[in-house]
Amino acid sequence: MKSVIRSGVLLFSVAVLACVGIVTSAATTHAASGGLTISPTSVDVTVAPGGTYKGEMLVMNQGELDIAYSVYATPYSVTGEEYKPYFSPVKGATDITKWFTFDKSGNDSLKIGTQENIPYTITVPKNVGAGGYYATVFAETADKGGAGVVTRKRVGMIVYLRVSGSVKESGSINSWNVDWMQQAPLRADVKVANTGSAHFKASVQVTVSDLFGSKKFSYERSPEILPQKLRDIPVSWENGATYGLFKVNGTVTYLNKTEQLPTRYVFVANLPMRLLTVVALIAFIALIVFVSKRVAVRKK
Amino acid sequence: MSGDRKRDMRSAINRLKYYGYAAMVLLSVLALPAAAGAATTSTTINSAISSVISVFTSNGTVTANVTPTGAGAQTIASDTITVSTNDTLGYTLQIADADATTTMVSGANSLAASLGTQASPIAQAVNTWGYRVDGLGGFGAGPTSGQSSAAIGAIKFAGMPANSSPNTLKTTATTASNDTTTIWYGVAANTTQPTGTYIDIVTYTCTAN
Repeated sequence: MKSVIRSGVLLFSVAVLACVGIVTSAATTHAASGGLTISPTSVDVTVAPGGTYKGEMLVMNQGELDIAYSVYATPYSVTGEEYKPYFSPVKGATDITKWFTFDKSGNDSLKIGTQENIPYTITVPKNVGAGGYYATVFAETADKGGAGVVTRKRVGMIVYLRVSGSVKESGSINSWNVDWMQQAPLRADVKVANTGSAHFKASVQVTVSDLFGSKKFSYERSPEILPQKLRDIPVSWENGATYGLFKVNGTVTYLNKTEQLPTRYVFVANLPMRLLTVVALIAFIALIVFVSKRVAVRKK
Repeated sequence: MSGDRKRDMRSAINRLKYYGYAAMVLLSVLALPAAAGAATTSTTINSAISSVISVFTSNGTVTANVTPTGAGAQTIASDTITVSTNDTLGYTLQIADADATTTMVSGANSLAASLGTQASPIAQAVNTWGYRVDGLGGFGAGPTSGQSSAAIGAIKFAGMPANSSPNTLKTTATTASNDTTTIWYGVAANTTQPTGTYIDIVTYTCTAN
């Protein structure tokens, strides 16, 4: 009888656990994700005054819900050396959003797993001066709700537009900072200034090697540098060595020239390892002094 | 050596010669495909991988209902933003109200945004709403946990910025795969706050760097 009761309790427990599992998994899958994917993330185009450019932006629904979305253009500018993006009009800057026309303004219901191209045209007025002009094309979800905080998601494609003509192109490397003593991750900063009237790409290549010349880390990026702006390009050796002496080399290629960055040596260690290194160094020096004195005494 | 043996030797040598010629011809024939293979041309395969960026959230609407008390009650609820991009420069994620009005509205009534900022957030005052991200700006490490109509705690919140002055939630410097950011919304109300269904729209903006 007891064994029957035990079996019953066991079966009941298993059933309850199974139900909890079902509820848990149902709760997990219920947290459906909604959002958008776009491609490309940026375009770099050159158009003559009075000319047009036709392009396409791909909008994808890779989420778990059908999505309503709209497409529109905003101005694009940056603030600070870290290039914090800003999408509202700026006083004194040309708002080029009126130059954009879209063949589609969005979709009331982009089905799960589907995608569509959004053709757009940039029409540059004839009287526009040569130089760089910037905008962002956004795809934004049209979430609606009756209560609480409704969250809309928007992803943007940055448009780097160069209006051809007499464009002033100039820039320089403003600084190259690598602290000689650091904690992991090893970090270096190169700042590139654009003193011209149009954007350019700065190809930054940095390598970190040990004292024997063995390459441990390499970094290569080509960010856009906007006119009359200084950009800080941080180089970080994530998940890299936590202790050691390293050599940091680099080059920056921009406006058809390559500049070599001065070699820097970095000692990477956290605080306890720094103290340990100092103690070991003192002990080593003391040992040398002691041995030298012993040798001198024996010679006498 | 007799004449017969000499003849036999010569014929044996001649046979060996013929076998040698035959072997050479056979080897030449066998080598032909290799020679033909050496004459083939190589093909270059090009493939441009397009840059993509995506943003998803766990909720289209974050519900933070409050049953107010005289001293004030607070509800805290979260939303998770997930970003992926193959852009090697990483991405920037920003938050702002969808318009210039940062209050939550219910008809003619409104619930003010917290007076705290992302750099200097404050403990939530009654009849306000705000957001926080653990470890960001002046918010402190947390960890924040959800609650429903509980006493107002000391955890700090910031008011939602207007659409013209967004706050940066995260900036990365490399590709990202399902990189998540959890944002907490807090609503605090006492019994002086008129009943109603309050709503506001927040925009998460994500662009490659």
